Amino acid sequence: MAAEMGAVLQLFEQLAKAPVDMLEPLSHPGDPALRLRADVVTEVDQRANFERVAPSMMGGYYLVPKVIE
Amino acid sequence: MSLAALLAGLDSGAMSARGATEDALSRASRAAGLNALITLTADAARAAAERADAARAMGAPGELLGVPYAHKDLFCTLDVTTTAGSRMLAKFVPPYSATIHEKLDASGAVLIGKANMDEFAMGSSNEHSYFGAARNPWDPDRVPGGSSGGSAALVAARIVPFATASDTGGSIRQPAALCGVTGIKPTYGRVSRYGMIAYASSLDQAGVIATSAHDAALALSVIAGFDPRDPTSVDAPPIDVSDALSMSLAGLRIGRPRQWCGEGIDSGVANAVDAALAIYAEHGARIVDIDLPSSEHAIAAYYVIAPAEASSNLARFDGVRYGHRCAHPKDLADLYTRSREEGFGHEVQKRILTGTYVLSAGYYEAYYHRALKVRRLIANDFARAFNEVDLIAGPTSPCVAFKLGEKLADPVAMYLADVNTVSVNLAGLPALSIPCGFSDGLPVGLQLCAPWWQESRLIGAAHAYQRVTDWHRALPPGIA
Repeated sequence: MAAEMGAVLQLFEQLAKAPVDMLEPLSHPGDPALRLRADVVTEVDQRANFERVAPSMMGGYYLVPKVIE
Repeated sequence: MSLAALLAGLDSGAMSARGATEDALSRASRAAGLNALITLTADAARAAAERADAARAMGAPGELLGVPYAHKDLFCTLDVTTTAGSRMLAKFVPPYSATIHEKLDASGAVLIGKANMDEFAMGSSNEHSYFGAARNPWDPDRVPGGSSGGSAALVAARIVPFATASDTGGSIRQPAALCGVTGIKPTYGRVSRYGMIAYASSLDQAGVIATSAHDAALALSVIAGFDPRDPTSVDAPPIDVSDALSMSLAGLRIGRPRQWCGEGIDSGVANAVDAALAIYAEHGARIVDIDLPSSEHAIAAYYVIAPAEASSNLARFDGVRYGHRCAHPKDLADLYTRSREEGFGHEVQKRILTGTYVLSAGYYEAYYHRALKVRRLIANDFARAFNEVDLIAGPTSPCVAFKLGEKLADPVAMYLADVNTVSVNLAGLPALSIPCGFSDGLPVGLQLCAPWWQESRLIGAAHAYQRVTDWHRALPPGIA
């Protein structure tokens, strides 16, 4: 893994050659303005639906392995 | 059979959804050696087909009523296991469906199964699937490409007339090219990402693979459209399929970037692409040599940005909130570490590590921040080019399908093969790949790329080519 990551990081050295000094970074290809939605409740109660896929439940709580003594 | 022909047959009553679905299931069973499906939903498909036949008899609407198809296994499907090709999600049964699944369901299409893919869509060969590599119908000793390798193999083997797929750096176009089928990656924001398991959110885009541009357009027009549940979804003018299909090539300006056609492209691939562009010229298009000077930086920028986003997106798979949980953890760190170590494959672990590395305080400026600036440079290149031309064309992949295992030992070589596809994602543009010939008996793909929201132009140009050529009708050996 270390050797493979070394090769990948070497590939990134290419970035140093790009003429980017005066450029603004582009983190997203589209218009980054976030839309606002109407301030109304849209979620419905899906508790039973979501509990169905949990590995273990008790009294409405998700159970996880005991990892703290 | 093509999607358009199947729809005509269903409309006329010459065919039934049940018959088409049985045919797809029996083809899937004969081609099981391709390992193109992770999950087969035969019983649900038969029931859906019967409902489709009944609905059609009642005159109910539905653009794809009774048409069998497969989903790439990263689209969440209510009550149907959705693995993303990973052990991490091998037992994940989603409590909800992706928007594109809801749309296909509403159109009456019949899901026959979930297609194999590189784990979390990370790969260009489908060899990074927890469920084993899918194989190329043209030569089962070769890769189908990736990450949507299962989708491309299913369509190439004529098991389904179309399959959904996703494209972060070429994952629709490259497998389409390697399997001799048509794949379209729409403009970023055209198709909802709601319910699509994320790899790199600013690059991921859902699309389709089919046997022709006409068929791809029919399926794409069903899954496209604004979705308030995806904050990056855009309310763009819809794709006008009938308008696209009547487009003429006369006067169309097609740019051929020198950087896409130079060093590193196999001569057989280059020859097929040149021949395809000559056909475009014969039919009235003007081929113009152009420059995309920043292309040489695209691979480096992509392999910084995509893993950076992936490292964040995949943090949720910790054995508690989501995904595989290790047995008998001794403390919290052990629970997280072992669950992720056991749940993620080698390539995914490598990209997560790379992503966290390029985002770490000491390297953020040199790698991540700089890569975002290079992304701007690449987007600017395309914007300039589209002032002069209507479309940009070149080889989708620099090589034809390679042997299984051939590039696994040299992952950087595998990354470099994405050279002509990743820049399109960095800029968010729509692009497609169509079959344009063969090299050593294996399919070659021609990539066409258009300005934002110009899918109609892409489909029109691809369809015009497919009206005068037969490459898209060629069948892999043993497939009828």
